[in-house]
Amino acid sequence: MRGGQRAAIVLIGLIVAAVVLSMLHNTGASVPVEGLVLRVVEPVRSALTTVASGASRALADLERFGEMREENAALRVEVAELRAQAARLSDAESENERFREALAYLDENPELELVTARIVGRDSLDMLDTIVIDRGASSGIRVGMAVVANGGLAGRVTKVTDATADILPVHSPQSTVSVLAQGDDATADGTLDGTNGADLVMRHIDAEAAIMVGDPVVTSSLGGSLPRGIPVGRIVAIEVSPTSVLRQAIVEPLVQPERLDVVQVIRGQTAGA
Amino acid sequence: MVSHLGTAARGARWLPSPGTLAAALFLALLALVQTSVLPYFEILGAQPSLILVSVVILATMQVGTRALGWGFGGGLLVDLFSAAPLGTNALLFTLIAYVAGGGFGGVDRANLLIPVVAVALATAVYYPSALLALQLQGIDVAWEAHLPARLWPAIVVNLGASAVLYYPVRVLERWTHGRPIPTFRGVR
Repeated sequence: MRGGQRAAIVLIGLIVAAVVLSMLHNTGASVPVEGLVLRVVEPVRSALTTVASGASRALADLERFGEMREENAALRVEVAELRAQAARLSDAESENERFREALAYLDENPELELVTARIVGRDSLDMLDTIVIDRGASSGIRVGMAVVANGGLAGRVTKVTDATADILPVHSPQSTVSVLAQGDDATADGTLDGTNGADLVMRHIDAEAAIMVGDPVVTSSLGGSLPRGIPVGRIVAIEVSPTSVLRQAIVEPLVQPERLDVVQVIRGQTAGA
Repeated sequence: MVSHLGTAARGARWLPSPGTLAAALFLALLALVQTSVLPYFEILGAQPSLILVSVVILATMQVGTRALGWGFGGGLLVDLFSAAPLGTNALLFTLIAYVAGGGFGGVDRANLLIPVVAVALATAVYYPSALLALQLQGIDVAWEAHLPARLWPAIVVNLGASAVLYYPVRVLERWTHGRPIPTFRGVR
């Protein structure tokens, strides 16, 4: 038999076998044999599949590494934006609170003509630590007027333009304000100087004056530039100088200038107040 | 020295020769890898058909009916290990082995381009044929989804697989059959 004929016969035989197998499969007759073969190779297939799927996952992770880095960077940006947003919301809430406090001060002092202004600039390079507000002469603001915030003295107006005004905060070393320390039974005059630090110094206190730590300090009418009775802070320490008959006190201010967003300028007092 | 396992086991003719067993194990291993491992590693959206490539390489390499046996056995293993109806790949691979062996029977077998061209052509024929065979058995086949997108990638990956499988198939054929195989460097 020639090779070609033999191959054709084998081919026909195999085709017939394949067709028969297909028919057996379709009728379900081959299922037990198929099941037996698959049961035998199942452990090998299972092991191969486990290894392959693990390797595939590792490869996929490797491929995703760059993508994950980009995603990570994008998420970092998003987190930063959300944090900034949260901070802005917090600032807004804080600002609202300060507005409410300012309005409360207005309610408590109906005789005072107050102009509410927003801080729009801080001249941090200026040795005077000037604060700029968005109200000026057009709002009736004049140099020397007292500026309050959060229920306490924040500073006084030192310069006015039509639309803005500069404020010298009480904590500035250039600031000097006439004040009264209000004890339980008596008061003591003095001058309150800024130190550029957190606390203020009340100087020139009479040695005999009955003041104590915790006493409130308010503006006095001495000098005439500021209305009397504006809260400034409270005494946290009293110092006695051996070379002087006068004493000085450390005053914790009510207003922290660095936290200010909104202030009120006391324009004057209403008639009849 | 080359051992001729095929002739060494002629004593017990009722048993498969060691060469046949080695070929069967090789095919089984390829079928397992093809159906259990390669699906996790698609290349260009396609998987190499190791059995098809091996059958075609063998068919271009030898004169005789062993490639038909490889085609039938390999196809049967693929049918068993995959979701294909039994007999589908067995029939297709047998036909492809016959055509590949007969079509390239008269050409210079030392030419390395022969298996490359044969694998590419076989792949191009196999994919639509397999879809047709499945459709004839009542299985819903999405021709548009499968054929245009997968045929060219399949040809490329099968050519890649042929570069990997050519040498092992040649060694196996030489080891099991014992006949010298023509190569591009001469008869070895």
